[in-house]
Amino acid sequence: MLNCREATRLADEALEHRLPLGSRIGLKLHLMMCRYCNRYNTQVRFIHEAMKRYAEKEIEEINGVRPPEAMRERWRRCLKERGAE
Amino acid sequence: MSGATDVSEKQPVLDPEGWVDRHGDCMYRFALARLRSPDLAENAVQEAMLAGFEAKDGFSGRSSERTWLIGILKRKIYDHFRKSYRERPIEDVEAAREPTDDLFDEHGRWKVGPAKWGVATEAATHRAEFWKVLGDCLKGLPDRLSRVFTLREIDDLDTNEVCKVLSVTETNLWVMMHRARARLRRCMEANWFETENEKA
Repeated sequence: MLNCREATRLADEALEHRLPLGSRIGLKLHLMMCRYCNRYNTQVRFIHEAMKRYAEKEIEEINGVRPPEAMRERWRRCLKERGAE
Repeated sequence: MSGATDVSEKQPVLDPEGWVDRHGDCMYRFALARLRSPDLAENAVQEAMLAGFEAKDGFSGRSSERTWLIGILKRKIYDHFRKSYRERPIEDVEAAREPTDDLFDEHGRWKVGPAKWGVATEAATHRAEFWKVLGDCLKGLPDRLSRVFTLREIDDLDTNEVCKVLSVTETNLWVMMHRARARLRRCMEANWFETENEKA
Protein backbone atom coordinates (compact mmCIF):
# COMPACT_ATOMS: atom_id res chain seq x y z
CA MET A 1 0.00 0.00 0.00
CA LEU A 2 1.34 3.41 -0.93
CA ASN A 3 1.71 6.04 1.74
CA CYS A 4 0.94 9.71 1.06
CA ARG A 5 4.55 10.68 0.49
CA GLU A 6 4.90 8.04 -2.21
CA ALA A 7 1.49 8.78 -3.68
CA THR A 8 2.23 12.49 -4.17
CA ARG A 9 5.57 11.64 -5.75
CA LEU A 10 3.83 9.29 -8.19
CA ALA A 11 1.05 11.79 -8.89
CA ASP A 12 3.70 14.28 -9.97
CA GLU A 13 5.69 11.69 -11.87
CA ALA A 14 2.56 10.88 -13.84
CA LEU A 15 2.76 14.39 -15.28
CA GLU A 16 6.20 13.56 -16.66
CA HIS A 17 5.60 10.21 -18.26
CA ARG A 18 3.24 7.24 -18.38
CA LEU A 19 3.65 5.29 -15.16
CA PRO A 20 4.13 1.53 -15.18
CA LEU A 21 0.88 -0.35 -14.71
CA GLY A 22 1.51 -1.32 -11.08
CA SER A 23 2.24 2.25 -10.03
CA ARG A 24 -0.75 3.50 -11.96
CA ILE A 25 -3.11 1.16 -10.18
CA GLY A 26 -1.51 1.82 -6.79
CA LEU A 27 -1.85 5.56 -7.29
CA LYS A 28 -5.44 5.31 -8.44
CA LEU A 29 -6.42 3.23 -5.44
CA HIS A 30 -4.70 5.59 -3.06
CA LEU A 31 -6.32 8.66 -4.63
CA MET A 32 -9.73 7.07 -4.33
CA MET A 33 -9.28 6.58 -0.63
CA CYS A 34 -7.22 9.56 0.41
CA ARG A 35 -8.90 12.95 0.40
CA TYR A 36 -5.68 14.88 0.94
CA CYS A 37 -3.72 13.23 -1.84
CA ASN A 38 -6.70 13.57 -4.11
CA ARG A 39 -6.70 17.30 -3.39
CA TYR A 40 -2.96 17.47 -3.89
CA ASN A 41 -3.31 15.79 -7.25
CA THR A 42 -6.10 18.09 -8.41
CA GLN A 43 -4.30 21.22 -7.26
CA VAL A 44 -0.96 20.30 -8.78
CA ARG A 45 -2.71 19.58 -12.07
CA PHE A 46 -4.49 22.89 -11.86
CA ILE A 47 -1.12 24.63 -11.49
CA HIS A 48 0.26 22.54 -14.35
CA GLU A 49 -2.55 23.80 -16.61
CA ALA A 50 -2.12 27.34 -15.33
CA MET A 51 1.56 27.26 -16.31
CA LYS A 52 0.55 26.87 -19.94
CA ARG A 53 -1.48 30.06 -19.73
CA TYR A 54 1.38 31.69 -17.87
CA ALA A 55 3.72 30.83 -20.74
CA GLU A 56 1.25 32.25 -23.26
CA LYS A 57 0.99 35.45 -21.27
CA GLU A 58 4.75 35.79 -21.22
CA ILE A 59 4.85 35.39 -24.99
CA GLU A 60 2.01 37.91 -25.48
CA GLU A 61 3.94 40.45 -23.45
CA ILE A 62 7.08 39.84 -25.42
CA ASN A 63 5.33 40.10 -28.77
CA GLY A 64 5.23 43.86 -28.52
CA VAL A 65 8.91 44.16 -27.64
CA ARG A 66 11.44 45.40 -30.18
CA PRO A 67 15.17 45.55 -29.65
CA PRO A 68 16.14 49.22 -29.25
CA GLU A 69 17.82 50.84 -32.24
CA ALA A 70 21.12 51.11 -30.36
CA MET A 71 21.11 47.35 -29.88
CA ARG A 72 20.36 46.74 -33.54
CA GLU A 73 23.21 49.06 -34.41
CA ARG A 74 25.59 47.09 -32.20
CA TRP A 75 24.59 43.88 -33.99
CA ARG A 76 25.11 45.50 -37.39
CA ARG A 77 28.53 46.78 -36.44
CA CYS A 78 29.48 43.40 -35.08
CA LEU A 79 28.51 41.61 -38.27
CA LYS A 80 30.26 44.21 -40.38
CA GLU A 81 33.47 43.87 -38.39
CA ARG A 82 33.36 40.11 -38.72
CA GLY A 83 32.75 40.48 -42.42
CA ALA A 84 35.76 42.76 -42.79
CA GLU A 85 38.14 40.35 -41.04
CA MET B 1 34.37 27.56 -56.32
CA SER B 2 31.16 27.22 -58.23
CA GLY B 3 29.91 30.48 -59.64
CA ALA B 4 27.84 32.64 -57.36
CA THR B 5 25.08 32.95 -59.95
CA ASP B 6 24.70 29.20 -60.05
CA VAL B 7 24.14 29.03 -56.35
CA SER B 8 21.65 31.87 -56.20
CA GLU B 9 19.38 30.12 -58.67
CA LYS B 10 19.42 26.86 -56.76
CA GLN B 11 19.14 28.06 -53.19
CA PRO B 12 18.53 31.24 -51.27
CA VAL B 13 21.79 33.01 -50.69
CA LEU B 14 22.35 34.19 -47.15
CA ASP B 15 22.59 37.91 -46.81
CA PRO B 16 24.11 38.69 -43.40
CA GLU B 17 23.97 42.43 -43.97
CA GLY B 18 20.20 42.33 -43.84
CA TRP B 19 19.91 39.93 -40.90
CA VAL B 20 19.46 42.58 -38.25
CA ASP B 21 16.62 44.22 -40.16
CA ARG B 22 14.92 41.08 -41.33
CA HIS B 23 15.32 38.76 -38.32
CA GLY B 24 16.59 40.91 -35.46
CA ASP B 25 13.17 41.49 -33.88
CA CYS B 26 12.13 37.88 -34.14
CA MET B 27 15.41 36.52 -32.81
CA TYR B 28 15.43 39.00 -29.96
CA ARG B 29 11.93 38.02 -28.84
CA PHE B 30 12.79 34.36 -29.10
CA ALA B 31 15.85 34.88 -26.91
CA LEU B 32 14.10 37.19 -24.46
CA ALA B 33 11.27 34.73 -23.94
CA ARG B 34 13.77 32.09 -22.84
CA LEU B 35 16.51 34.05 -21.15
CA ARG B 36 14.27 36.71 -19.57
CA SER B 37 17.00 39.31 -19.58
CA PRO B 38 17.55 41.97 -22.27
CA ASP B 39 21.34 41.81 -21.86
CA LEU B 40 21.50 38.04 -22.15
CA ALA B 41 19.10 38.14 -25.09
CA GLU B 42 21.17 40.77 -26.90
CA ASN B 43 24.29 38.68 -26.40
CA ALA B 44 22.68 35.46 -27.55
CA VAL B 45 21.35 37.08 -30.73
CA GLN B 46 24.74 38.56 -31.46
CA GLU B 47 26.51 35.26 -30.90
CA ALA B 48 23.99 33.46 -33.06
CA MET B 49 24.38 35.94 -35.90
CA LEU B 50 28.15 35.73 -35.73
CA ALA B 51 28.04 31.94 -35.62
CA GLY B 52 25.66 32.03 -38.55
CA PHE B 53 28.04 34.28 -40.40
CA GLU B 54 30.91 31.85 -39.80
CA ALA B 55 28.81 28.90 -40.87
CA LYS B 56 27.04 30.52 -43.77
CA ASP B 57 28.75 28.31 -46.33
CA GLY B 58 27.16 25.31 -44.68
CA PHE B 59 23.65 26.68 -45.19
CA SER B 60 21.87 24.17 -47.36
CA GLY B 61 18.77 26.18 -48.13
CA ARG B 62 16.56 23.36 -46.88
CA SER B 63 15.05 25.70 -44.31
CA SER B 64 14.45 29.41 -44.53
CA GLU B 65 17.19 31.78 -43.47
CA ARG B 66 15.18 32.68 -40.38
CA THR B 67 14.54 29.10 -39.29
CA TRP B 68 18.21 28.39 -39.77
CA LEU B 69 19.24 31.37 -37.64
CA ILE B 70 16.70 30.56 -34.94
CA GLY B 71 18.12 27.04 -34.83
CA ILE B 72 21.56 28.46 -34.14
CA LEU B 73 20.12 30.83 -31.56
CA LYS B 74 18.41 27.96 -29.80
CA ARG B 75 21.74 26.15 -29.43
CA LYS B 76 23.37 29.32 -28.08
CA ILE B 77 20.62 29.64 -25.50
CA TYR B 78 21.00 26.00 -24.42
CA ASP B 79 24.75 26.52 -24.16
CA HIS B 80 24.05 29.40 -21.86
CA PHE B 81 21.75 27.31 -19.65
CA ARG B 82 24.27 24.51 -19.53
CA LYS B 83 27.09 26.84 -18.60
CA SER B 84 25.25 28.76 -15.92
CA TYR B 85 23.95 25.50 -14.51
CA ARG B 86 27.49 24.17 -14.23
CA GLU B 87 28.72 27.35 -12.62
CA ARG B 88 26.08 27.08 -9.96
CA PRO B 89 25.95 23.34 -9.41
CA ILE B 90 23.65 21.41 -7.16
CA GLU B 91 22.96 23.14 -3.90
CA ASP B 92 23.91 20.21 -1.76
CA VAL B 93 21.82 21.18 1.20
CA GLU B 94 18.84 21.36 -1.05
CA ALA B 95 19.64 18.03 -2.66
CA ALA B 96 20.40 16.13 0.51
CA ARG B 97 17.37 17.19 2.47
CA GLU B 98 14.04 15.81 1.38
CA PRO B 99 12.07 19.05 1.19
CA THR B 100 8.81 17.24 1.64
CA ASP B 101 10.02 16.13 5.09
CA ASP B 102 8.05 18.80 6.81
CA LEU B 103 4.92 17.77 4.93
CA PHE B 104 4.81 14.15 6.02
CA ASP B 105 5.37 12.26 9.26
CA GLU B 106 7.73 9.31 9.59
CA HIS B 107 5.06 6.97 8.21
CA GLY B 108 4.69 9.11 5.10
CA ARG B 109 1.32 10.51 6.15
CA TRP B 110 0.37 14.16 5.76
CA LYS B 111 1.14 16.28 8.81
CA VAL B 112 -1.15 19.00 7.52
CA GLY B 113 -3.07 18.03 4.44
CA PRO B 114 -3.70 20.33 1.49
CA ALA B 115 -6.51 22.77 2.17
CA LYS B 116 -9.63 22.92 0.09
CA TRP B 117 -9.25 25.52 -2.64
CA GLY B 118 -12.92 25.61 -3.35
CA VAL B 119 -14.61 27.19 -6.31
CA ALA B 120 -11.94 29.85 -6.58
CA THR B 121 -9.67 27.77 -8.82
CA GLU B 122 -11.05 28.41 -12.28
CA ALA B 123 -12.27 31.93 -11.59
CA ALA B 124 -8.91 32.82 -10.13
CA THR B 125 -7.19 32.63 -13.49
CA HIS B 126 -9.24 35.61 -14.69
CA ARG B 127 -7.66 37.83 -12.10
CA ALA B 128 -4.40 39.62 -12.78
CA GLU B 129 -3.21 39.17 -9.18
CA PHE B 130 -3.42 35.43 -9.57
CA TRP B 131 -0.74 35.52 -12.25
CA LYS B 132 1.39 37.83 -10.19
CA VAL B 133 1.27 35.50 -7.19
CA LEU B 134 2.03 32.53 -9.42
CA GLY B 135 5.01 34.40 -10.88
CA ASP B 136 6.24 35.30 -7.39
CA CYS B 137 5.92 31.69 -6.22
CA LEU B 138 7.89 30.61 -9.27
CA LYS B 139 10.63 33.12 -8.50
CA GLY B 140 10.63 31.91 -4.90
CA LEU B 141 11.69 28.38 -5.89
CA PRO B 142 15.30 27.45 -5.20
CA ASP B 143 17.39 28.33 -8.21
CA ARG B 144 17.89 24.91 -9.66
CA LEU B 145 14.31 23.80 -9.17
CA SER B 146 13.08 26.96 -10.81
CA ARG B 147 15.36 26.34 -13.78
CA VAL B 148 14.24 22.78 -14.30
CA PHE B 149 10.60 23.68 -13.81
CA THR B 150 10.76 26.65 -16.18
CA LEU B 151 12.45 24.69 -18.95
CA ARG B 152 9.92 21.93 -18.67
CA GLU B 153 6.67 23.77 -17.99
CA ILE B 154 7.10 27.18 -19.60
CA ASP B 155 9.63 26.65 -22.33
CA ASP B 156 8.01 23.32 -23.06
CA LEU B 157 11.18 21.32 -23.57
CA ASP B 158 10.66 17.58 -23.44
CA THR B 159 12.24 15.44 -20.75
CA ASN B 160 15.13 14.42 -22.97
CA GLU B 161 16.03 17.97 -23.87
CA VAL B 162 15.95 19.17 -20.28
CA CYS B 163 18.12 16.25 -19.20
CA LYS B 164 20.61 17.06 -21.93
CA VAL B 165 20.66 20.79 -21.29
CA LEU B 166 21.16 20.40 -17.55
CA SER B 167 23.02 17.07 -17.57
CA VAL B 168 20.72 15.35 -15.13
CA THR B 169 19.25 11.87 -15.26
CA GLU B 170 15.60 11.30 -15.97
CA THR B 171 14.94 10.06 -12.44
CA ASN B 172 16.64 13.11 -11.04
CA LEU B 173 14.51 15.32 -13.21
CA TRP B 174 11.30 13.69 -11.97
CA VAL B 175 12.36 14.17 -8.38
CA MET B 176 13.14 17.84 -8.99
CA MET B 177 9.85 18.38 -10.78
CA HIS B 178 8.03 16.76 -7.87
CA ARG B 179 9.77 19.08 -5.41
CA ALA B 180 9.03 22.11 -7.54
CA ARG B 181 5.35 21.20 -7.86
CA ALA B 182 4.98 20.48 -4.15
CA ARG B 183 6.55 23.84 -3.28
CA LEU B 184 4.53 25.76 -5.81
CA ARG B 185 1.34 24.19 -4.58
CA ARG B 186 2.15 25.12 -1.02
CA CYS B 187 3.12 28.64 -2.01
CA MET B 188 -0.10 29.17 -3.95
CA GLU B 189 -2.12 27.81 -1.06
CA ALA B 190 -0.45 30.14 1.41
CA ASN B 191 -0.39 33.26 -0.74
CA TRP B 192 -3.43 33.02 -2.89
CA PHE B 193 -6.03 30.47 -1.97
CA GLU B 194 -5.88 30.90 1.76
CA THR B 195 -6.45 34.62 1.50
CA GLU B 196 -9.22 33.90 -0.95
CA ASN B 197 -10.91 31.60 1.52
CA GLU B 198 -10.65 34.14 4.28
CA LYS B 199 -12.36 36.73 2.15
CA ALA B 200 -15.12 34.37 1.23
